[in-house]
Amino acid sequence: MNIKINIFILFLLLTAGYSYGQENPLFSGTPTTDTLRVNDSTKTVQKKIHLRTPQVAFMSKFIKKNARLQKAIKEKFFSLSNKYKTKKSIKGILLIFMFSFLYGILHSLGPGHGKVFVFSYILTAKPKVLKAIGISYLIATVHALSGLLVALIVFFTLKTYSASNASISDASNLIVRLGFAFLALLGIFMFIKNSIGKKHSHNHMPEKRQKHLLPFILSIGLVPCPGAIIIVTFLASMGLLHIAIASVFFIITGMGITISAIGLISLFSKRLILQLFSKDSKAYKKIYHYISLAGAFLLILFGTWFFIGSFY
Amino acid sequence: MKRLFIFLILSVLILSQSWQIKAHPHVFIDTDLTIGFDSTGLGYLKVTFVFDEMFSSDFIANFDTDKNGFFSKEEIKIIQKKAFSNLINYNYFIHIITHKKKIKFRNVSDFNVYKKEDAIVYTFTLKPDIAINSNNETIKIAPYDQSYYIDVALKKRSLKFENTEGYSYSYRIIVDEQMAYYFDQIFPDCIVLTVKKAHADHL
Repeated sequence: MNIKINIFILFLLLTAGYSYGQENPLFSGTPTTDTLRVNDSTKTVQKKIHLRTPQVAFMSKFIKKNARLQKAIKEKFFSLSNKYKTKKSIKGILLIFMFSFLYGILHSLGPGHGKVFVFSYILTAKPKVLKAIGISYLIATVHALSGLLVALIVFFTLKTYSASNASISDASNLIVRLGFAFLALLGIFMFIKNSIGKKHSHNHMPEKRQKHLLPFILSIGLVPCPGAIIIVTFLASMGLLHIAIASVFFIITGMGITISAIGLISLFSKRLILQLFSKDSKAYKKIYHYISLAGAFLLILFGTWFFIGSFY
Repeated sequence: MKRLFIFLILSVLILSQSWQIKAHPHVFIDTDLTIGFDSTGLGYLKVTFVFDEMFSSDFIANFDTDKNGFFSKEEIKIIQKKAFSNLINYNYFIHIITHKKKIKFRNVSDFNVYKKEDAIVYTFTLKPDIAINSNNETIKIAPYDQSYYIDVALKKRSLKFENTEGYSYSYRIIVDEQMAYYFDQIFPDCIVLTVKKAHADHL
């Protein structure tokens, strides 16, 4: 069954549309929510009362700082690429790769990139440290490579950069929707398995669930990384396609660090909680089971929510 | 099972606003604002958007169709239609609140686009038409893209005021959590303008 699923997802990847440009407000779309809770000037703006917490303020500062850092890196990247185009040097290439790496770290620190799914998945399964890092890197790899694929399709078929092309959105939306629908189904499947597992398993540890890993990684990663698309199409449009392709691997390396960090945080948190109950075998089993179920629930919820969200 | 149910409810509550989170931002804009008064009150806002170089290079490749290095009148018309007019749905990224009401911009004028070194620049004028009398009015102005596809930053030092004769005003720039956007995660920089018509003896 898994082979069929994997082939199906690979087919989707190969027929992937494009994500970058699909929602750029300059070209298309409408905001799905009015942040001030009003749609027209006749209604009163509702006051927000829940925001003044240090955590939320810190998060806001962090997101804004991160965005400005990304801007600075992109500026540097732009000038380095221009320099390299006129004067080719090893130093130039290395600097481009270094900034691709940094961009990978910072870009994936922002919203998206499957971090929340990695967090949820690690709650359901029991991977070791290396495996958690491996999962994170595989997600980063699929995510960036699908971005590379999209960029190459754009480059070779349309011979134009995707940001200004609104017609590319449909295929992208389809693939994103299918990915999230698949994710929700995977969550349901794992939830049922966990529930049945509780009744039938007499072992201290639940059975391994490795066989779900590849569909999980593909379903998350198949959303093409817009950051990779931007870098690749930019470098390709400058006639530096080979550098563009190599840069993606440095983006993956950077992105993997961020996603791995999230994966490891969730892994160690889970271990810490379980350790508290390690002396009481009954409680340990119960807690383990609930954490696994919680992870499956999160997967179902995120998958469903993102699936619904892709329609707006 | 009870705990699980509580967890599920909490998850739904937490996630109810997060289902649209996507990897953002992709484009970066620095915003210059000029706030102008007319005989009735806050009459116009001159807005300048400076885009990041990487986006600009793509944009130029697509819209400088004759590749002559600048945008002709025809090209600007196309840009306005294809890469600007949709901003009406986003209130042109300029959000104003006064008397607890949000100002919705229906018209935009003086749209222009040009290249400044490697960056493309949009300039345009919005008309908020906010009447000001002899009582103090507080007007909040914040530039941001609520979808956070674009990071729109206010260039605080470039803030200017025009035609201020007849008005007494003061302002401060704050980080305003009341205007939080993108799932209430980001607090924009907000100009809080306090303004009233000056008495004749102050003129």
